[in-house]
This record gives sequence, C-alpha cells and structure tokens, in this order.
Amino acid sequence: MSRMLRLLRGNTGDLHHRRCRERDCANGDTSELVVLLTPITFEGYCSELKKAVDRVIPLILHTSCSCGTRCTTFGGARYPRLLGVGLLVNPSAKQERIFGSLIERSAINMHAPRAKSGILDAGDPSLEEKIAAALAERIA
Amino acid sequence: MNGRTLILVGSPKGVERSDLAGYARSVTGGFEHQGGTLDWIHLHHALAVEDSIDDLLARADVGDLILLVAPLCADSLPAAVIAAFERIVEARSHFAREVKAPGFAVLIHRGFVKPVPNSTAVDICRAFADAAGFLRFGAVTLGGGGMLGRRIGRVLEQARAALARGSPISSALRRRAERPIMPSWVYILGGGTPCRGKSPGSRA
Repeated sequence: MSRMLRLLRGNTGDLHHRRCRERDCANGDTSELVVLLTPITFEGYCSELKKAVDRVIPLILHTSCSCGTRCTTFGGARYPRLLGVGLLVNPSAKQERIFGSLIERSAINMHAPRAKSGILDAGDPSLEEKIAAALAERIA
Repeated sequence: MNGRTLILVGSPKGVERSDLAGYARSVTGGFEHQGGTLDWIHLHHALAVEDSIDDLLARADVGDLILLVAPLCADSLPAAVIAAFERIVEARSHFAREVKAPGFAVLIHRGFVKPVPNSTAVDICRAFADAAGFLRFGAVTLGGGGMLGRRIGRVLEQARAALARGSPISSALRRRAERPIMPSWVYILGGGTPCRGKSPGSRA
C-alpha cells in the first residue's frame, strides 16, 4: 500500500529506478485504496503524477510484465478504491468539477469500485493537521 | 495565416509517423503559400533535450499561432504535454506579456469512437492558454482513431479556413466533429469479438 501510494502521489522517484516498475504496481493488488495526491496543474494532474497514471493503465490491461514473471497486477477480482486529492490556492467550483470528472474517468480506467475527489486549499496553514486528523479518524 | 505558426506534436510517435501530424498538415495546409512559416516541435523530444526545450520556449514567445495536436491519454493529455505546458507557463511568467499574444488552437484525437471524454483535455488546454497568456483559438476533438470520414475531412478544412483568416475555430465546428463516426454498439461488437476468449481468465 505504502509503495503504491509513493508511486502515485506525484513524486515518481521510483519510476526512475532500475527496479521493475510493474512489480511496484503489483503492490496495488493488496491495496484497498489508492490515493492520487497532486498539486492541481491546469485543472488536472501535475505532469509527474500523470506520468505514473499513464503507466498504470497498461499494467491493468496486461497481465505479463518485463521482469519475466507473470504478474496478476490488478488482475484479481478486487480493485482498489480511488481517492483524488488536489491542492490549489483558492479553488473554485469550476476547477473542482473538472478535477472531479478527471478522477471519475480515472476510476473507470482503473476499474475502481468507488471513487471520490476533492480539492484542498493549499493556502490553508492548518492543512497538514486537517489531513492528519482525517486520516487518523479513518484509520481508527 | 501569414505569420509564424508553431505546431506542437504531443504524440510519442513523433512528427513523421504520427497520424496527428497528418491532421496538423491538413489544418495548416496552404499557410506557407500565404507567406506564413511553419515550425514543428515534437514535445517528447523537446523535453528530453535541453536545447530543444529552450528553442520551444523561445519560439512560443514569437509565434502568431500555436497549434497543439495531441492524443487523448488516460482521459487527459499525455504527461509530456503537461510537462511542456508547465515549462512554457513558468518561462512566460518571467516576461512581460506581448502587445499581441499568440493564438492557441488545439486538435485532440481519441482512439475510441466517442470523442466526448476529450472535453476534460480541452478544459486543461483552456486553463493552460489562460495561464500562459495565449488567446484561445478553439479546439477540434476527434474520435475513432485513424478513421477519417468525409465529414471529418470537411471539419478539418473549415478549421484550416478559420485559422487562415486569423479567426478562432468555432464551437459549432467542434460539436460537428464530436459526432461519433458510428454507433457505440457497432464499435463494441466489432472491436470486442476478436478479443473474446483471449483473456487469461476467460473459459472460452
């Protein structure tokens, strides 16, 4: 789960390592939730996160990978749910609508049984505390 | 169009092999005979080579029209196109805006029949044009892969005529291009039949 989150959170450092990318994504097989956390760039994903999303789609469609193993990446009956979180200073309703439709479409592509999205105000000084509290509540 | 036209190709296939480059040639056909110049930039290549991205940023500042041709990728623009957008906006934020900003027109192409999901990509392009200080010059969105009918050919010709006059592509023209080239059920039936029984989980 944590590796999957690291892959999709907008900092795709793992993609540039020699390690098999598909094997990283295979961790999504055991995840119940995938979070796409990104600064909003032109109403959508930032380019780094988009790079990861572009790579995830073919992994869902194909069951074999370049590491020589036969991965069952996302190939089982269970697919993770999807949460899209965008960060933007002074978000508007229109921006939220466009980002929401993008997450909806990504959920269809990723076969996510449920998906939700929202934009957080990046200018809010208590943003980190709010996210931590929401996650703690969710985990509890 | 007798000014400088910058064509940004967002397909990983490149300028030579991409269908999109062919559409761009249709839309910009005749510009050179009117005294205009065409500059082609393959965005994936430009981002990989530092000199090329500097060249792109310099040309974006002096162009009269910028035409982006890109495939729809996971219901958005390809990552390389978004990365190029980020670089252009960052570079242009350091300079004073020109008296006459370049126009920014878009041609987006989707492999599946329904071109409607292209609208999110058009919204992204619109936000980019505003952020970069370009004039919005409209969009044409196509579906159905490389299947070009007579209607799409006429749409591209009308888009060319509008841009040649220095006018934006009308939303009516975009709506006309968005009509599916065949009913979705025909596509699903025809496209799904060869794949049926070939998936690893299938019992057929």
